[in-house]
Amino acid sequence: MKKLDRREFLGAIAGLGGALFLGGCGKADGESAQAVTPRAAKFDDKTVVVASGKDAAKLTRAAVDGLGGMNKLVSKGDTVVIKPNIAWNQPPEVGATTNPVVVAEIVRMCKECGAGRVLVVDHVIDRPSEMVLGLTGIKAAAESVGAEVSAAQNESDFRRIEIPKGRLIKSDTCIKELLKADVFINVPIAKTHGATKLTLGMKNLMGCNWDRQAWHRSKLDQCIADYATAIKPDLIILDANRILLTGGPKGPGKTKDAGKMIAGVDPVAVDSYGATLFEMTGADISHIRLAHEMGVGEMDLAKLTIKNV
Amino acid sequence: MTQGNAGRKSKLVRMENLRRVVQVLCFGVFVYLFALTIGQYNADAKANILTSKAPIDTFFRIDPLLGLAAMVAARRVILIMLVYGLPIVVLSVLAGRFFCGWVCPLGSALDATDKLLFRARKQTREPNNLALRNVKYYLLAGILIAAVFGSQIAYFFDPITILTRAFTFSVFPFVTKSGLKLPLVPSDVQYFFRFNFVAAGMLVGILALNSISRRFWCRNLCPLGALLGLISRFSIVRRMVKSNCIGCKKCIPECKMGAIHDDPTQYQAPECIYCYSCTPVCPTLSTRIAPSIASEGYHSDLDLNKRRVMQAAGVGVLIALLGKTNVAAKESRTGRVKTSSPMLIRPPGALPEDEFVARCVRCSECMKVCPTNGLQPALAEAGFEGIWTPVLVPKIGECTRHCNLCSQVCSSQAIQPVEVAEKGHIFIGTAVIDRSQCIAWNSDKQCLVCDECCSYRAVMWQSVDGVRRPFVEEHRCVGCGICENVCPIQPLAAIRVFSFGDKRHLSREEQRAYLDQAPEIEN
Repeated sequence: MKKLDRREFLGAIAGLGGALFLGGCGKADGESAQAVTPRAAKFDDKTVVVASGKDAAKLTRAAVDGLGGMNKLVSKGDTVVIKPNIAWNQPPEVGATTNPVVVAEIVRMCKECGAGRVLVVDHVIDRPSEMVLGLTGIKAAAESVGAEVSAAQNESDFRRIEIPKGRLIKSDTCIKELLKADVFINVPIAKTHGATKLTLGMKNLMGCNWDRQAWHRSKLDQCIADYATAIKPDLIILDANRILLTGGPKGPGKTKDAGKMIAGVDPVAVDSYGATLFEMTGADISHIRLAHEMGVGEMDLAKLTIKNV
Repeated sequence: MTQGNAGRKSKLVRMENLRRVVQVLCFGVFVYLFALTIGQYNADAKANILTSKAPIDTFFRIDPLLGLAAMVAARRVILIMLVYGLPIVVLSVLAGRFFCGWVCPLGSALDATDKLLFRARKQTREPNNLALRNVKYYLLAGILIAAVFGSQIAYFFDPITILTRAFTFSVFPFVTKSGLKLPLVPSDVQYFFRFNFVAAGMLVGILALNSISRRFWCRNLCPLGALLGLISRFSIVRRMVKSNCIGCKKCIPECKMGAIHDDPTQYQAPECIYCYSCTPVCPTLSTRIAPSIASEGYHSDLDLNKRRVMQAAGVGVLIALLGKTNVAAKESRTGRVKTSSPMLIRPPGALPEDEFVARCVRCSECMKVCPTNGLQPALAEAGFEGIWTPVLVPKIGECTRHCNLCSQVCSSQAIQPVEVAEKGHIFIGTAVIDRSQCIAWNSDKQCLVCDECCSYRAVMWQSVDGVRRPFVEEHRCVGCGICENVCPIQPLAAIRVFSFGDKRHLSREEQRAYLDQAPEIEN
């Protein structure tokens, strides 16, 4: 073996140190925020479709068909990102996470329209996230119909975004994959929530950002409304087949088989309808009211077309 | 004759090579088992959702020093260590310290270090201090006497634990930090450990001692080696030198352990690790290692200094007594909670404190497997006796709901088996809300993250002055610490878990009855 003399050894150390130093210099100390330009709605934004029945898969399809069908939204080769609620380590029957049957049916519909990559993603709260994806049934269900399932658990999975219309937050983060997607579908589950009374569609978007704690330290309802001005789903499918009445958002608590699936593109309208399932109105929920005031959407159900299918 | 010699020589060479192959294999198995010490999601078995591929703690089960010290100190038979340890004991009685030469992963690491770093050292000028090698027996004496007095200190000197701790505390965090998507490496938790410097320092120090002589640690310091040497005094596998020895002394510098000195036909049996290095160099091929009871050249006597043995035993007694009378041993007036640290939160299933500390061999497997990195080696929480035992540090990681991995990997069963379903009534601590810090209490913020995240519905909100504020229901709070971990106020969370809810001294039925006292949940 060739012997290393002192000079070479010191040279190598210096080289290594230099490389590390330069590597560190290359890191930007703060990524500049990216503007998010919402796409034009593909469905009528004044319509909220409410499908009633028992079978979750059929309800899902009926709700989307009622709005005009998935083929109006998804074109051949599109990358679709689906954001269900997979925050908690609970089996689906608890009603704390989106029903995997609903997620699978949406994936199937996207694939039928020729979608390329379909990614199911969430920022999971309970750990380890791999177990959460498993126990909630989402991983098995979505992968069986050809979707990818992942959890965005590292800060590097997020990108900084601008929120120009935000009152409190002017900039925040969002899951990178979601920003790159051609189609973004928000698939929340309807349930009660300690801090915000209810968690529906706009609250589910809180799982797209990295630092949730910051919103709690600030004003939560305002932050949710601010975020909704920047991140707009192309389609919202609110899973209200089984809703969690107490113990939300994680449960376990009392559940009710409401047998509803609500589809729409107006986040405020969908949430406002969702609130009625809990014998409340959109105006009772601060973040829905704030989003309405900020022009995110329409809270007044009388001004909307509610289409029952 | 020449042909016959050549044939025999290659066979002799093979024995040494076989030993090398076995060493590499055993080290590989050690690393593989270490890497397997992770939780793997098992979708089919809902009761046991995370499984760890057994038996990943094999090396700790078979280690007779740890088994003996833990069993004596805890005054309990630890069946799993007995069953796995006995074969090694029996084999060592028959075949000497083969474990050191063939199996021990630290021994193999030392041999590899020699090959890689200390090649240039002149073996002939290697010091061979005969008095120094007695140190390991003195250490063993101290360890065993301390165990008799109820204090288990074997963990500090045991080679398997030293290596595993270095791997867990110092190497594993590098692997997770590297961000490489490797199989068996958790992708969403970056592991950090206290004591990473100490663990790495001990291993590097032991490896560095090789610059003085080969296997310096094994020759002079290793108490496991001392134990195996002691029980192998009547071993029937022996080194024999035939009468055609020409006295060339080539075997003497070849011996890694310095077990042969001055007279090549003689050797110190308790020092021999059966590495077969001495046989192939013999020009007359008169050296053999084979089953025999021939007494010629076989020396099993130890030239121990009785005074030193007594001194070591005295130190062992002192350590045990100091541990038992340290303030950390003090219990609260009522109940069985140690007063030393409110942060002494043990993993669920942990035995009552005294037995837990006596049994725990500080192998660090529970901390490696913990999926949230919340289990950390104790600094001062458990006092002098409990240093490096696992404590839950909720601000680093919570005890996650559907997990019992630490109880699955504990070789000494200081953490008793726990079913995931039982975790709702195994109380390891209690959460307390610090209303002066809590933003829902002190500034009416919309924050109920603790209530949201609680897996046991122990944190609940009530409306006070028109604002929803968190409360802890003590009968349901098991002390898992997720509330402290997720609290937006960091690093000193506004809700914190303390040890006062620890109910390890109660049976599981009694703990269940305590949970049943919880009032109905309203919202």
